[in-house]
Amino acid sequence: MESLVTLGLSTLSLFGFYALLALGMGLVFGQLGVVNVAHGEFVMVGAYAMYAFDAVPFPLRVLVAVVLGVALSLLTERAILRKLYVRGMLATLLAMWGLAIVLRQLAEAVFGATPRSVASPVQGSVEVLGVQYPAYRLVVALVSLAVVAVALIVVYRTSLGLKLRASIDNRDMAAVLGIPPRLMIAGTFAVGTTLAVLAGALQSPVLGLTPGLGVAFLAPAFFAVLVVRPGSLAGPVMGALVVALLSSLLRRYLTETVADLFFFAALVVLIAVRPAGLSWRLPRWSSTRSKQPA
Amino acid sequence: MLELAGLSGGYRDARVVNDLDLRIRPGEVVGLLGRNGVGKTTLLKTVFGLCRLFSGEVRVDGRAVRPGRPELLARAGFSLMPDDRGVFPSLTVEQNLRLAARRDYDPPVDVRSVYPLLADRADQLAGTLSGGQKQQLGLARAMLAGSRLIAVDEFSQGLQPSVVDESLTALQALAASGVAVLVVEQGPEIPLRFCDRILVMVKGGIVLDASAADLRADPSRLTDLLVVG
Amino acid sequence: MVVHTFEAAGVIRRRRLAVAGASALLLALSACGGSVGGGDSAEGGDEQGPVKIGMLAPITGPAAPEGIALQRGFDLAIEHINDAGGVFGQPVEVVFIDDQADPATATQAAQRLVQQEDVDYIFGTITDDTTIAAANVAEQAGVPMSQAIATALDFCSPHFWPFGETPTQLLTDLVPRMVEEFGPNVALVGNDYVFPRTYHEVSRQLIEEAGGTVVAEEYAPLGTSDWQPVINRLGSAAPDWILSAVVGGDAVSFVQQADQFGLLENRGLTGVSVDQQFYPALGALLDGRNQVVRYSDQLPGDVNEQFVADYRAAYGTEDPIPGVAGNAYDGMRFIAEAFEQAGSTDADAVSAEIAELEFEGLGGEMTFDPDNHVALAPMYLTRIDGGAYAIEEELGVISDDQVKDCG
Repeated sequence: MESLVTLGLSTLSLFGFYALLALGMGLVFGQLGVVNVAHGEFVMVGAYAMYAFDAVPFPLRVLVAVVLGVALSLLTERAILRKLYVRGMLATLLAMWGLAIVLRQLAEAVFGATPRSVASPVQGSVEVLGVQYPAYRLVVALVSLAVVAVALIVVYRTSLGLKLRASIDNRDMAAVLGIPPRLMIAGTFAVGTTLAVLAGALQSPVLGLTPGLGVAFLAPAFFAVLVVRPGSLAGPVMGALVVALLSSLLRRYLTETVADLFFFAALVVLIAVRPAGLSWRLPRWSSTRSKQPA
Repeated sequence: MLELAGLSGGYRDARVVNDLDLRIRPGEVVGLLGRNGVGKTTLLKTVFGLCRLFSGEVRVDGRAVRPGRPELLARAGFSLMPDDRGVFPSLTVEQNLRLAARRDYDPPVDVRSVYPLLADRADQLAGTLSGGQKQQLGLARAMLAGSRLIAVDEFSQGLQPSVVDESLTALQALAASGVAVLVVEQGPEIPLRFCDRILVMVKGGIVLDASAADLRADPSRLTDLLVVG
Repeated sequence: MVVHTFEAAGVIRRRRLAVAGASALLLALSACGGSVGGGDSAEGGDEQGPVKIGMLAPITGPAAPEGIALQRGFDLAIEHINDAGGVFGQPVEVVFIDDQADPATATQAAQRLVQQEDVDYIFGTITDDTTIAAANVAEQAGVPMSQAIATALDFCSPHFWPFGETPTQLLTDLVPRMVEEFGPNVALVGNDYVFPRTYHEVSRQLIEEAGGTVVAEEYAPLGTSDWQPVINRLGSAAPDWILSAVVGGDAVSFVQQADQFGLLENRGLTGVSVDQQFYPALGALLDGRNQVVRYSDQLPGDVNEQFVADYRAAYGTEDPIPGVAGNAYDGMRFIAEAFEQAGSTDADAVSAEIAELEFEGLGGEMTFDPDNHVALAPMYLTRIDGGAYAIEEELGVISDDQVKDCG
């Protein structure tokens, strides 16, 4: 019983983190057709923002990180991605890969390579069904899942969300119905990557901050997006649950290294047996101009 | 109202529509005819900002529309049903319609009674409709959104004759309220029967622009341009 | 003073212009054990060209924190050597390459150093796999090489002289003290690669010798950010203290999360994870804990004081100076001295001098065991106190009788 509770709690805390990452990555992939390989670096930016503005109270500091994330992602979309959509997925992937390197080196130049940390705003632990668990982890898991829930409600229950989904389905037609495509693209990218920045800010008190810290988070986010039915924006959240559960189950019963091996093997198998997991469709906005008339 | 001046459009490096001039007045019902590949679809897409504009202007009420911004024309009350119907497959029929509805425009026809199917299947995902059903959804959306002009590509594709008639009646009612209608067809029958004015395109340009009444009297002028060979 | 020229292949050359004043020369050389008479070195200078050192350090990538500290200590040594007149009366030249902690990159870099740059000595790399990669190239080319960070290498060659502390040197005094202070039940944790595993092989033996028991032993891959399962397993084994060979950013994640999960309550913690480079991030979590080091910025003596002052001025940091920086500083000065003594850049002559040299390092006399090439220098027990790794006790030189084939 106790070990089950422990398992549940660690799954919950991983799920909260991965859900934010996967939702953001799924949004960006769905709307822009961009595989954001710099997603982990946006997590790193969020964590370092928390370190840099040490003097600001924690909740306000999260807000600062979010504002910074929005600014950085709008700049990225404007300066890097906008010109590259027409060149296809590989071009944007490589550009984001380059951005990831730049962000890492920038962090190293500004903050140095010595690991840093962020103090937790909530100390101590709480008892959950007989198991002591760090209070901050619980708080952060619940906050993360609440943000994910709000995001999904916006996507599925508001007119803005309807426009977003229409734009993902068929960006040209959405434009013809008055939904501005550039705004949808820039807005989705900003929201998607800012979710990663937020995740980094929230996780910062449990992480050792190094410029390379984001690298480890790309794979779980990517797999969470891959394992589920494409096109649905709730899908990556389900995927995050699968990934979190798989990870904590394996690591509960196996040594870390073996669990890691099985984890990636299991995900590859899962995707192989569900080849419909992902269709590499090009964003329509970019493809119309290159398509010849039928 | 809508004016195309020296319009040239196409794809990346292929010019399909060449230096085309055209005016469409409010309430006018215009049929655009031409064989496959003469540039009818490209013309519509260029007007609506979905194709590359090489030169020329699209003007609304005498003012040029910024190229590459389809949403601006949409906000001015211009709607297009593209040849692939452009329904949003992962949204329901009702959601598709809701996206087309305009706060400041209530069309004089009720699309849900023109196409009862859309009310029956309101909660069905549009991606699961048949081709003819998608066509009805596409037409309904175009009618909801087009307060000033409705452009329909491949108007009759997949539609039963009875639904074609219902649609024509609805479009006529809309035209009577001052909405311009532009329908693209392969064959001359429907435009001859229904339009005020007929345009024929050959190789990216308009070669015939005549009133439908004149052409009904002398259909050979029209059929010569459409017959292959 | 420093001229950087960026070349296509990512090589940064640093040439330091010597500001050789007689007083500076005297000052620096007087600090060295077997200091060289002016006449000898001047004679050598007539025949020998400048000594050229190839420097490899992962200043980007996962080992960057250690790589940068290594580079800093090394750069200061070069600066001080050249300020004091260089070697053979000429400034030492340095060709720097970032090995990115990647063995393939390290191999290429070492090849470039020996083939194109024609260096006389290779210094550096952090991770053992890159060290072996570079050392193999160096050995084939007959170029001597040294590294400077705590190491579990079993690689050796006639011209390979590692300055890093061995697990035995780090643990021999630490383990019995921890058993005495906290109790016999010990949990071992580390990242999953050669060094932590070797470190813990040694620690397990020492724990058993001290009458203790290893109650848990856990390894996680480098780059692990979530330590919950490991912490759960360690916690359920109810250890009295934890010996951690978790490194890099992982060390911070692990110690922080261990604290949040209550694993550190009333328990001892020591090992690689409490090293100086983690203090800025872990701070209060490390205060009051013990660590055995060869280098601490708290070491007494003018030479160390000067080094600390220069280090802080050059790099603008008040953080504890990492041990690898001290080792690199001592190591490079040791090598320069060996070159001077040998009077030539001939590898055999230089290695012969290294094997016999008695060098006054920052923490005391430094020599090499001529048989297994283990660097020998006094070790210190420190207590961490507000960022100072304060010396509690000098432990003397700790020999390591591991058998290595260095012939």
